[in-house]
Amino acid sequence: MIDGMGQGSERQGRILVVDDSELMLEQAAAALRSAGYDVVTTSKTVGASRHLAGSDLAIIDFHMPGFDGADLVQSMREAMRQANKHCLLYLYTSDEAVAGNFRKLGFDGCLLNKGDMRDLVAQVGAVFRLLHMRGIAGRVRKALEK
Amino acid sequence: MKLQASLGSKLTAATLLVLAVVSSFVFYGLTARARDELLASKSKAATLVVDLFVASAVAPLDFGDDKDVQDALENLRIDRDIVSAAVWREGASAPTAAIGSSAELPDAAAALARAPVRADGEALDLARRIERPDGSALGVAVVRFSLAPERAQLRTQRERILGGTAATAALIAALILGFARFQIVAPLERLVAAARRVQGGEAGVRVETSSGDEVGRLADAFNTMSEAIREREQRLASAMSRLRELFDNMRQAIVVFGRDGLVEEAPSAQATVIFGASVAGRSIRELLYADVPEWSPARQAFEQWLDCAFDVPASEWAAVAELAPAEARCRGAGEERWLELQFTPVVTEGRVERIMMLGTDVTEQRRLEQAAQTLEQQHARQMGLMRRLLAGGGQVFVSFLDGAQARLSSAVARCAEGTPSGDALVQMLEIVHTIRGEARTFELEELAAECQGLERSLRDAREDDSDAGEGRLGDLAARLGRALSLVSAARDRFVEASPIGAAVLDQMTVRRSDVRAMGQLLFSSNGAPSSALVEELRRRLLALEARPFGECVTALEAAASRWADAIGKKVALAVTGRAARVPARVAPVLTAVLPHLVRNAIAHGIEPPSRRRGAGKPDAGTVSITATEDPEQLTVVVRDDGAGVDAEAVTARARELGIDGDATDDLLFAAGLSTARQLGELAGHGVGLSAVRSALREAGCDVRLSSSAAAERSAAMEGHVGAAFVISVPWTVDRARRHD
Repeated sequence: MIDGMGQGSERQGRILVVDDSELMLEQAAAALRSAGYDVVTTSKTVGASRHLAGSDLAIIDFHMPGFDGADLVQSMREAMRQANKHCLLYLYTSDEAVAGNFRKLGFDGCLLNKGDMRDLVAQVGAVFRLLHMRGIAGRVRKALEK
Repeated sequence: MKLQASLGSKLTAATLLVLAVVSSFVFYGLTARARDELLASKSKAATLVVDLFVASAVAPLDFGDDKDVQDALENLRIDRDIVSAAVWREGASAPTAAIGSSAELPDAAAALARAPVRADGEALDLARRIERPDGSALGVAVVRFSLAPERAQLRTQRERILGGTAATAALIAALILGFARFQIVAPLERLVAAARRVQGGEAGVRVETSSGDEVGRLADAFNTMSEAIREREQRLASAMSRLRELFDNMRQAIVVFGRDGLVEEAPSAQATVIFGASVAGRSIRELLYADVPEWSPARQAFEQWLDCAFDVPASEWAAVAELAPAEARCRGAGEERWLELQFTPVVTEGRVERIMMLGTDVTEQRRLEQAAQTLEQQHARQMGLMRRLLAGGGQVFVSFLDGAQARLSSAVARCAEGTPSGDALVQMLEIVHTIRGEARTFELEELAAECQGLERSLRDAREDDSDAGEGRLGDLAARLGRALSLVSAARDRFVEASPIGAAVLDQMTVRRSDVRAMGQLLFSSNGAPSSALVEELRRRLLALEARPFGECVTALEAAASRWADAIGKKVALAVTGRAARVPARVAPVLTAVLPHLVRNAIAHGIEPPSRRRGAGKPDAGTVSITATEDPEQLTVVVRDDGAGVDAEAVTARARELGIDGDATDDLLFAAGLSTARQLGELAGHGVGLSAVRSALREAGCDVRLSSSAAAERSAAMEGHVGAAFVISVPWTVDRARRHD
């Protein structure tokens, strides 16, 4: 058995969802919780960084009133740097033009089709698989070389 | 070594060999018999000749007439077969008479002693004793007969025998071979040809047979075998076709791809339906994620998975399979589909050589699920709305509409006066923010969205000092106008939905007991009403018109925890005295100001959980709203279990801002004062409390900070004391203290 493999299903993560729409947050939280994730939501950008500790992934709405998603990302990165913690920051949008620019805006990745909860769960699943596989890819190669 | 010759040739060779042997035996036998017969008849004839000669030679020899003996010998010459002859007198060593080359003849004794036929077969020597009639010996006669004619005859006969034997042998050979060919070789050849046809894939090949011999039985066995093969192939073909049918009918696409990610096989019809024609040769990535950008997590995760799926040993596959995507949404042949995916390795020598993907089309299922979910959500929303309306009564909605319209109209009026000042902008922001929150609670999403836009514009206007002027003002006025029209649209809908039409706007709830009591007062009085009666009637009437206090706090409970959550605090709202009566004129004012006081308590009173923990308080703060009726007035107390009012900070801040006043109470309610240094979501605008006091005073009420009320112990607060605001609402305006 290669170390770290085969634990994908039981190891769910903690997700922070930041969005100004309560409805959206409720739906996202319900969908992600029923998929087995631990979910924290907030509709306010002020103090959102607080919730980053312990989260594996933050899903952030880009268009929030009075606050720029990019600013939020910057402040979150700063907070993570100070706390020496890491959390993936993903943009959540249906606007493909914005989506393509996610790196420029400071995000680690982007989730598409905002509002489609089933797709959200699928995409989040892929993010966690990706995270998991990046970790084990090196070990697989090493095991093969042996 | 295997002999390559055919069975026919072998049979021919064997037959010919046997026939040759048999024929030569027959030939030699017949030849010998012919020779013996010839010799026998020659001997017989020769014996007869010799006997005659011996009889004729007795007398001459007895008389010693040698000439006669010679003559008798000469007579023998007539017989051409006699080569030579001689006569010996008894006891003489030389012949008395002789003809031919008598020297070659054996002497008498030797001639008598040996067989008549010479060994070389060239001649026949016959010797006879010549005796007197009394039997005494006179001599010996020896005659040699030539066997040349017999030899010639024998040669002729031998040739004839040879020809006959050969012809017979040939005939027999022909017969045997013909029979063998007809009975064995030809049927075998037919069998071989039929076997070749079976080998070539022909089904149901039969060989005709009529005989019951081994070849016939072989043919029968062949026919049975051929039939069995045909049946098995039929079963196989039908199984194959059933399998194909199964593949074609199932809603699963089967796609097999190799290490390079290219599809090698797509054996099911569904694969074509889902992914379009010519699936083979296309990349599995393109099939599943054609419309998805390369950076999307789903696609990246799949790429990464493909990278390691072929490298792990087959025994580790279970772990790899867990990391494979469980579903994908793809747009292969036009229509968008949801696929549930399963991956199975095709293993050769312990290595994953190819991977088979089973894609199940679950689009319809997903659609149904989504529809059901939407219905569920709609239902939940409607139920929530119903509950809220039931809790507050239609009047709550009406008062919201009235309040929103009044506040928006005042904002429009302020815009009409020219570019609003900073303070005015802050007040408009407050108005719009409150309306947005309330609109949400009534599911007026359009109005909420419009207010959200308005909020953004107002924030921009406040932050941006440069006088953008007319354009921005126009935009604000237009947005406010739109919000106003949305409010009246909501009013229209409410009226339309009401069973009593526009009267719903004027409807109110009264208590039966109040109406009954009024009737008793009126109908029991005789004569002119006394002033006491009029006063009592007036009091009753006011009570009739009054609204239950619960209506004023309907939307607050849900909002309070949301507000607290937004700034990282925890709060529970406790309301008592929901049934207390609020004068009709004050109800909308109270509905409007209570949220400000609660927000104020959350922002300034309740401490963050960490600080509360330090002070030995529970993490969640409590804000309690209590309404109590007495004959004079209604008293509403908004109390929190926070840190209380920092009088020194208030005074210092007031001095900093140049606001005059001595009492903390007065300073707190002064316009523009806020101890919050930073503008937050809830506080820091410095308009809240002053606006609350002016709104209440306008309605004939008042509000003050009360330390005594704060000190009252409350069960909900477990004895923790914070700040308390007391609102006093007199029953009649006349009795109220006038402040304006």
